[in-house]
Amino acid sequence: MISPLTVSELTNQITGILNQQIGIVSILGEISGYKTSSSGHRYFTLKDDQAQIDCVLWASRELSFLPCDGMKVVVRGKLAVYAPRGKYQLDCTNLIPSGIGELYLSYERLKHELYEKGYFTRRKPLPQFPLYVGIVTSPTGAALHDMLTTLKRRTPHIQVYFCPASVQGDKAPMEVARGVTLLNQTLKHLSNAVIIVGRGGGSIEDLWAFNTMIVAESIYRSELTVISAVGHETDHTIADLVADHRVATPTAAAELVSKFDRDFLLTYLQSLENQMTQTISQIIEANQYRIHQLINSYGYQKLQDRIHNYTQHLDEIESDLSKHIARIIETRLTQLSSLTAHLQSLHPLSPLKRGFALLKQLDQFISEQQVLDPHQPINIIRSSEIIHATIKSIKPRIESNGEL
Amino acid sequence: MESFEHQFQRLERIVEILDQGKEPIGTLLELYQEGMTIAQNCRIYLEKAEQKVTEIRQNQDSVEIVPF
Repeated sequence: MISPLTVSELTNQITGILNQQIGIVSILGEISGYKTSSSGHRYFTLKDDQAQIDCVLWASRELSFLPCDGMKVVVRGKLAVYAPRGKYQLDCTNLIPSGIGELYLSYERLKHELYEKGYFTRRKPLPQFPLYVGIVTSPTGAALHDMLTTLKRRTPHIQVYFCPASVQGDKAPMEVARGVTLLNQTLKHLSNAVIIVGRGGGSIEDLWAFNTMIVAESIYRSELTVISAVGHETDHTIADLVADHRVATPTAAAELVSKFDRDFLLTYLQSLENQMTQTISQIIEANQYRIHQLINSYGYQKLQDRIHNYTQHLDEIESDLSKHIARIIETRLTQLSSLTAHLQSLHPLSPLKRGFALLKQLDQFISEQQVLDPHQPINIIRSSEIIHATIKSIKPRIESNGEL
Repeated sequence: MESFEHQFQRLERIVEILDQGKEPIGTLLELYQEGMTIAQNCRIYLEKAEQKVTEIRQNQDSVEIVPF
């Protein structure tokens, strides 16, 4: 036989099953027996014509209206077990009046569906300095005017691309979604562009376009960063949840985009310029100091001394060299003049100066071998005159010691 | 002008390189020149800028882009 469970064990099992199988739910029903305890917790029963369930709303949970018996509401909460009394009850997180209950339920369903699909994970960063802003909103509302005014005042350098769209009514979801898509097509090649999609505040019905699948998809598929700026006080719209950034008003969106306004950027530019100038001056000064140090360093001074020594040595060599060359030239000149004199003495006519004479016959020099005959006319050439003569007689010369 | 954002990033990078001072001094001087030119361009761009709003409308199949 299986041993019996204790009551606590059974209750624990029931708690586990309720948490796992049911968990968080949204329920439509009518309030009955509403009371606020001294601790601030609110207790009531939610019922329809066939069933009822106990509910608790802890003091820490905020309410935007005062519930009363008979009021139809949509309650969101977690099913829990109250073990001391063996009761199950709904631990509520919030209550919404039922006039909008149906809308709220569909909102909850879409939110759940998109959460499951991972649509709430986009967190593209804002460009550091946005230069292009695409705006999807109504052409007639205050939202556009507020955003343009803020942008013009703070960042006139930002170019605005405006896509008009109805922001409430039947056509609104399609027009808002198309606006986001069109702006993507127009601006996606610009890295520093951002899209603002939004409108001013209104009732939950007025904001409904921003709780639709088609708008959620257009934002989810956006290649550009999207800021959702739907005026509201309590719950976020689906557009807020899908967008990369969300703000409470269109003006806040414009302020976010123009976070670094023109004055800030100009001041920052000036500080960058100052910093660069200061840095480069320091670098130049440091280098000048280094040069100064090098010039005065022992090594450099020693090098200069060595250079001086070398130059002096060179001067000496140069001087020696020129003396040497001069001597050589002098010797050569002496040699040249003696050679010239020698050469002159070898000229064929130079013996005439010493008294010798040459003999010519009929303008031809008379050679050693030529035989002469008496009575022939000859010319005797001396250094300064020519003598016309006739041979008287001829006799052989007998050589004796040195005499002619 | 190359995108303002890119110019600004380039300027910040130049300031960083100058601060590190690891490059040869010739390069640093060139970077300084470049940085001052960029800063001047950015300043002129910011000072002269006037808000420009363009409207984008879709008509049947075509997209119309007109001044607002």
